[in-house]
Formats: sequence, C-alpha cells, structure tokens
Amino acid sequence: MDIIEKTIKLCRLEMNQDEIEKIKKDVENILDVFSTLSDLQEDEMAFHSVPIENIYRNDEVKKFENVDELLSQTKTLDNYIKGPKVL
Amino acid sequence: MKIQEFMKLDKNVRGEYYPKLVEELKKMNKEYEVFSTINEQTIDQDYSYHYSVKDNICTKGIESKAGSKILEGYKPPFNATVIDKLNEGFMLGKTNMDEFGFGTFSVNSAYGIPKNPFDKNRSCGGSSGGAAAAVSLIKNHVAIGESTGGSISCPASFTGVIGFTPTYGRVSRYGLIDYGNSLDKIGVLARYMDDVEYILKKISGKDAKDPTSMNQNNEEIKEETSKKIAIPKQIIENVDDKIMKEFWNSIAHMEYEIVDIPNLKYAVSSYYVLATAEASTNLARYCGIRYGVGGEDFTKPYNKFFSDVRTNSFGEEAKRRIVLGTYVRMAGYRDQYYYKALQARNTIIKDLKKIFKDFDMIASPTMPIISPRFDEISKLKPIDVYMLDFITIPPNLAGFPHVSLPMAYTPMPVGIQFVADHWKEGKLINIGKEWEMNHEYKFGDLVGGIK
Repeated sequence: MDIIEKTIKLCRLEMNQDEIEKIKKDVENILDVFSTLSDLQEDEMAFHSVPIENIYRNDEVKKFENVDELLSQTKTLDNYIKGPKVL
Repeated sequence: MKIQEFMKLDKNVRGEYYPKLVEELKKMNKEYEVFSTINEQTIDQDYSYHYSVKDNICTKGIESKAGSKILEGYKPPFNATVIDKLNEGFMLGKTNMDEFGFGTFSVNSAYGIPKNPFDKNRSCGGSSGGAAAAVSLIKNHVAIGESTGGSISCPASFTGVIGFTPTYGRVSRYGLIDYGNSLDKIGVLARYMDDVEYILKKISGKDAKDPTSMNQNNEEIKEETSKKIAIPKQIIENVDDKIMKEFWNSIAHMEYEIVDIPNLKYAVSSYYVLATAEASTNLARYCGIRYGVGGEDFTKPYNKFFSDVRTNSFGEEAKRRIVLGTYVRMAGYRDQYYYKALQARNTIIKDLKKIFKDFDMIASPTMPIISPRFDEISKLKPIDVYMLDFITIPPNLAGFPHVSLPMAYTPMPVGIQFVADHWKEGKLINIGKEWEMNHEYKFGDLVGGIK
C-alpha cells in the first residue's frame, strides 16, 4: 500500500480506485507547491500568531446542567453511550 | 438604517416587523439559498436589532451544521459565547457556508449554494458566503461570520459589504465548530462601520471558556487615525488589471509607499499546511457517535463503523483536506511540511511586525479577481483555488486584524483590504468610517425595510 493509501486508511476514510487516483494527483500537485517551504531558512516556529500563555483556573467541580440534552445526541443503553465492538 | 437607529424605533414597530421579515426571507431564500435554517420560533420579547450567524457557530436548540452532511440534525445544547453576548438581538437564521470553512466560493456546502446579489450566476465568495449575501440582501442587517484564511474578507469583497476580521483571540471561539484552532476568528459583516463597531465591542472580550481569548489586552477598542500605508509589491503584481486601476484611484489621496516583503511567497503554503493539519485532527471527532449523523450498525468492525459514517457524510473537499493535513504532520514528512510551515509563519509575523513599525496599515485589493461564475469555478483545480487566497492569507496566518471595504463596482463589487497591527482594530474602524463618507455602497436590498 503506498503512502497516500495508508494515509486515507489512517483518516478512517474509504475510497475506490478512481477516487484514490484522483486524490493522489491532487495531493501531489498541492505538495509540489508546498515543497517551496524547504527554501526557507528560519529556526523558530510559531504555533500561534499572537503570544499565547497557558491559563490556569482553580480545580473546582462544576456540574453541567444539561446532561440529558447532551446524551440525546447519542444512542444510549442503560446510561451508557453505545459504540462499536472493540473486541 | 444603522443598528443604533433601528434600536430607537418603537418596540411595537419592531415586534410587527420581525415576523414579516421572516416570511419575506423564506421566499427570498428559495432563490438565493442564503440560509440553511431560518428561525421560525415565536418571538416572545423585544429584540433591538436582527442578525444572522454563520452555521459553524453553535446556537442552542437550532441546527448547527457547519455546511456539512455529517452534522445534519445536530442541535447544540448550548450557545456559543458570541450568541449569549448578542442576546438583545433577534437571530434571524444560520447562513450557508463551505463545509467546515473549506472553500473560497461557498460551493462546498451541503445545504445550498448562496447566489451573488449582483449576479445569480456568480459566487458570493467563501466560506462565509451566506453571511455576506444576507447583509447585502436584507436591509438593516448584520451578520456574524468566521475567518480562518480569509473567509470574511473574500465574500465581503465579492458581494460589496464590509467584512471585519479582528485580531486572533479578540473574540471567544467557544462554541465555534473548529476548522483550525490557531487560525479561526469570529468577525462581523455589515453595511456600516458603526454597526461593525457596535457588534464587535459586544462580542469581544476575555472568556474563560476559550483560553486563547485570555491573552488580549484589557484596553477598550478605540478609534485611531492612520497616516502612512504600506502596499506590498508581491501582492499587487498578481491582481487583475481592472481591479488595480480601481485600487490606485481609491487610494490616490493617501500617503503610501510600495514595500518589498519577499517572504510572503511562503504564506499560502504555510497556511494550507497548518490549516489542513489542524483540521484533520479537529475532524477526527466526527465518527458517528457524539454529534449529527450517527452510525446505525454497532456490529460492524470497529474501524469500519467510523469510516462508513465519515466516507458517506464528508464532502470531497473535506476528505481532500483531511488526507492532506494528516500527511503533512506524519512522521517522515512533518519536518519538511509542518515544521517548515510553522517557521514560515514566524518569519511572516516578524516581517509584517517590522512594516507596522513604520506604517499604520497595509493596503491592497482584497481579492485578485472579481467573483467568478459557477461554471468557471467547476473548472478550477484545488491548488488553483488555494492560490487565490494569497492576499487574505497573510493577515489571517499572522492573526492581524483586517477589514475589506467596498471599493468599486466593475460592475461586480471589488473590495479593498486594510490590515493593522495586533490589537489595533481602532485604526481599521477609523479608516472604515472615513471611507464610507467618500464612497457610495450598493446593496442587493431585496428583503426588509421600515418606512
């Protein structure tokens, strides 16, 4: 499996052969343009655009008022949220 | 009329106006597809003004789908902070947009493609296309939009309205459906700078629920005049001639200098690497369990359960950006793409900060082209679309506040972009007010209006 097909699988997406060929071409075109980044000589990395510091708060427990509304968005069984079998 | 005039009307006049407005809107929407949801809830209190919200901002009990099929049916159990802050306004509806913000023309929408008020065969721009169209088509209206790489400026330019993007961190992102956390900014689209100022001051401020909003200074946004404007050589070399002619005419009375910023050539690549990398992690949460479209068959193998929902519900552009964004941060590739993109961002911020030492603002046309026709858009390759953002990307990547103002009509609208230093929204408000006195803006004006 080539790297693009591996990436598609990692993303939890499924594609047929035509779709894979198309996305490979698109990604290659785009990465070709991005490869000019390698000309840049610069050491520091900016993870944010403005200086961001970690903000702390007191560890106080606050009850979320709307648990029922949150759970109404999911499929539940006996107060558990349903998901696919792991094993 | 401006919001502050609308607020002075008798509350009974407003009370009668809103239901009529909603009815007119429903008819208009069949043709222009501006809204994915129109608010038909009974109006039980006096609202001072009306506004709309881009559909990637959570509104309690009202569908918030971010233009994506995967969030169909998602009704958030909470309001975004900006919605709580606008509680004196009547929320008219949720506006159409490119899926999760992925696009420049609002054509990647699962819920209808907004049509340009000046020519229905042309795009409104994106990704806040619906928001911009709403401001142009509905009288006395303001819209809340969002920008990651230019999604407020582009549609503002294409539809002839004001599009204001504040400094990154100025407005709380709590309740905004994430595209790229280090790039997303909520902003305002409107007809008048007074309206932008009013709404911006309402929605700005620190919010403990969004830690990235906590680093802004405590100063009130205050108007400041500007003297000197910088015009980047790299930008104006690649804009349509007709638009450049209008630009030079418009700024003839200003003190300006053309500046050389060679590192701007890395901006588009840096932005798309970082934005897609962040988006690919943000979209990992859409897996059929917690929001929107749910997986039905829990006996499926574990990974197939997730991939089926995602494959069937994400659009083509979303899939492309997820794959691209995952690739550029993978081991073996992240040095040459992700880390380089972070370095490029740092360089561009440093270079632009240097410009702001000597100049009050940077100016250029907002977009290199007028709004294209839909048949022209369908012929563009993805990379061609990305490259069109080369003017709006630098301020977005670097978190600088910027505004697009209506500049000319060719006959399609074209906008002018002004960029100011971090936290200097006051300079943009000032130039916007001055600009408005010397330019006559044109709007679609199809809906609403009080005599």
